[in-house]
Amino acid sequence: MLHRTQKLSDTLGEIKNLPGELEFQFPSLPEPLLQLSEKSMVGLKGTMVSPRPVNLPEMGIEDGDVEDDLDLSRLQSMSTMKRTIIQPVKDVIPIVACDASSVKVGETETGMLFAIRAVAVWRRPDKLQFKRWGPLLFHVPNSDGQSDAWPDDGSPRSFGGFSVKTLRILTRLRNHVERWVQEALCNAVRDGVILFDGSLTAGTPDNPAGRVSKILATARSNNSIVIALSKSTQLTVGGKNILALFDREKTANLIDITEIVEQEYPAYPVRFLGRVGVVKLAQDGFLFRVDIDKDSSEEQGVRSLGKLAGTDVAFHGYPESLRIAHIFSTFTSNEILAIQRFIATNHGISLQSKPSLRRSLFGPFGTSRYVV
Amino acid sequence: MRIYRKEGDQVQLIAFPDEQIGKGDYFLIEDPSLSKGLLVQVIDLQYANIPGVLEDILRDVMTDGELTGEDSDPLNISSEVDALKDTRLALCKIRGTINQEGGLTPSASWLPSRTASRIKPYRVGNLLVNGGKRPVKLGHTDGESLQVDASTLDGGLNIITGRKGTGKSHLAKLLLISMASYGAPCVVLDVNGEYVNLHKSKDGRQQSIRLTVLAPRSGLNFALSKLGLRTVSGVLAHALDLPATSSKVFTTIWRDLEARGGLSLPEMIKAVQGWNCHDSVREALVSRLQVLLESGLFSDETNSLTEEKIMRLVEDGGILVVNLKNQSQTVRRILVEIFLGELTKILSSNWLKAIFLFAEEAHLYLRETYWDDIVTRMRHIGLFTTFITNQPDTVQEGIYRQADNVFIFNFTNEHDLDTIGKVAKADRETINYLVRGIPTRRCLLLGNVVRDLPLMVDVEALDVRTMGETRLFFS
Repeated sequence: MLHRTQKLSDTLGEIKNLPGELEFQFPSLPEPLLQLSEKSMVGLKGTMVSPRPVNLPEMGIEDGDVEDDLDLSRLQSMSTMKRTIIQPVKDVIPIVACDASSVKVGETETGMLFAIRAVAVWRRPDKLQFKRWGPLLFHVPNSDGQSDAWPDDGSPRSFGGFSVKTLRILTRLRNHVERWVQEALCNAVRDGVILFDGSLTAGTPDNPAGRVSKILATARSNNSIVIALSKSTQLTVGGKNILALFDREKTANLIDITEIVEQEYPAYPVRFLGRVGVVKLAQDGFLFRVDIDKDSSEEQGVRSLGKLAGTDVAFHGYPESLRIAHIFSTFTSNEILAIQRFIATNHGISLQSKPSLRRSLFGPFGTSRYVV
Repeated sequence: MRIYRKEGDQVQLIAFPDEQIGKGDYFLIEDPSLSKGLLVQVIDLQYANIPGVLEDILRDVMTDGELTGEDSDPLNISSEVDALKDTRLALCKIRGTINQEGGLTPSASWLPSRTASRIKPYRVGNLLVNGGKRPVKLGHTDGESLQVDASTLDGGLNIITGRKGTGKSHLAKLLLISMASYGAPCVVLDVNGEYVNLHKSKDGRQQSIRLTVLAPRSGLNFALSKLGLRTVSGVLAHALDLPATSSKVFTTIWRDLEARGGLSLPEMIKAVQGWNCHDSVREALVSRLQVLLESGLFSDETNSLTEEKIMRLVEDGGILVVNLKNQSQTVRRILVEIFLGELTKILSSNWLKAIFLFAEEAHLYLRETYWDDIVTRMRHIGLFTTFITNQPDTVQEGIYRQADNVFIFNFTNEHDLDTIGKVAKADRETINYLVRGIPTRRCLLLGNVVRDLPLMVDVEALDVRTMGETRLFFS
């Protein structure tokens, strides 16, 4: 049973025009990715792995979206910003959400082991449905090499010589898997809304603009629209986070800040591929940063937000499908233990915890600012 | 299986779903570098408290209702996750150390290696020497036949207890027949008349058991002169609560009648009625002697049951069943008082080396002072008692502490478990965990019979007419 703080006034089954059968043909994981995973794990036999302790409060590897860390200091007046009321509409279209997670599983003498998983969640008349890919396991060696060689085409073949010295490599691989799922969704869904977790900011080595543009174009070609929702953002006005600026909003609405963002941010290398705004999807919900595909019409964007608000928003004003996608992609401690057991039994390695130097030196004060 | 931790006399093992493990099972934690093993017994099974399992279960619950989905899991890691969720934590009690030669010592002052030790199932039956010289087949444990040595029941005090209908009487009959088959003299105080057909198989065939059933007005007939002053005084004082003053007068009358050669119950009543004493004493004596007369136990004093006859009935493996069914509590108490007196005489005279007494629901007929007497004096002269009860709190605490063997069937009530927990042959935790919820006919054995290694056994079926089942209307 799902816990909800806000219930829809109509049950999903009563909403008109909800497609009766929403069956999507999603592809299997791409063979090169599977091969890369397999290849990276070859050669581990007989080695020792220091398993990741599974009682840490933070299990994932979060790098943050530093690419859009921007202070909009010259913002003149909030009243000049375009504000659109969102009218929840129950005449729905397919809504599909996706998310991906990565987690460090352990360390070998030569590198790091981690797992990646991606999830797509969509609504059916009476329930939510999901498709989950993974987890896939990767061993990333410590050796320096092609860590910067992440081309815009997103080919997994270019992962060969990653250096673990930059944790961002992991983000890059996770992004690759997430983009692959997004691509699969945009290919499969027609006349729908595709929800991404995060933003549509691209143009960094971790997040090539070419690939995101291609994904958005695919969605448009299927008469679908991509909406990305962020629970947090680095965009600030005079040092204050934009989500905090509008936290007194009482009604469901969209505040478009695209122009200000574009004026303030250099055009290259980072690109905003969506119209950026702050959205409130339900009266008593939270504010979220929203990025709506820039090449779709403004009217289509607002209409889609209305349909999203009318059918899928259930928990603190956050789309239910996106919430479930996050929950189902996140690795639990139990799953990390299971992966460690799998690696030990299938790759002939022995698990041996590495003593923590920090703990040895500092005892209970040996906490780290960096939770990896 | 892996060692997780050790605390006091408990070891916790982690067992994966594909590993066979059950409550009561024995495992040997063998440390090859030390050439010895720690013998442990599983007393409880729990789910291992694995980090993140709550999140997993919550996610599963969500999936059950409004969510359906499909996993594309090329490495099949979800099966590993499921295995972890079903991983069990086995609470085990340390029972001793098995040395290189396979011998058991109760010492456990060492720790086996957590990483190098091998944990394997251990058949405790091997330590019981498969029944010794006089094997008694009790049943099965882990699918293997379990035989105990009849001599471990010799010279001891046994308790068979458990909830109603769990198989206590069945085990008592099995022990009784087995002991008799080795020539042991046996007497049964049968409250419900369920031992009277032990000599017949279920289909009515006669068994080779030498069984005698006696009941008031059915072979159970005594004479004052044969019983003697001590036994009759005991009956009046303990079974019929005769005051001490009246008892003294009775002794005087007895000696007078004995001297005159007219010692019988009717004569005794006449003598009391004509005796020069206080009316209240006379009244007390006459009323009690009338009870004896009406009990039917003294109906023909010329053909009475004597200790010689009793001895002949039980010697060389005879079973004497004293049928107390349908008798009032007073008659039961009189009978038991007489019988214990007679058995004491037989044993004190060394006519028999020992007698095995099976006492069902003894609280219904055994006077307070006899509990201590049975575990001390009577035991030393060779009366070895087995108490059978479904009300453990009716047996005195001292009996539990002195018991040499305890056979426990299912109990769920905390109060009952607390009472049984007083037995010296096992710790309270072992009893609490193992006994709770065990099925009918499965029993926990404690004591000499299993060399102090608590053992669960499925009691063997008997081909005798047990007549112990409750009569049902809807059957």
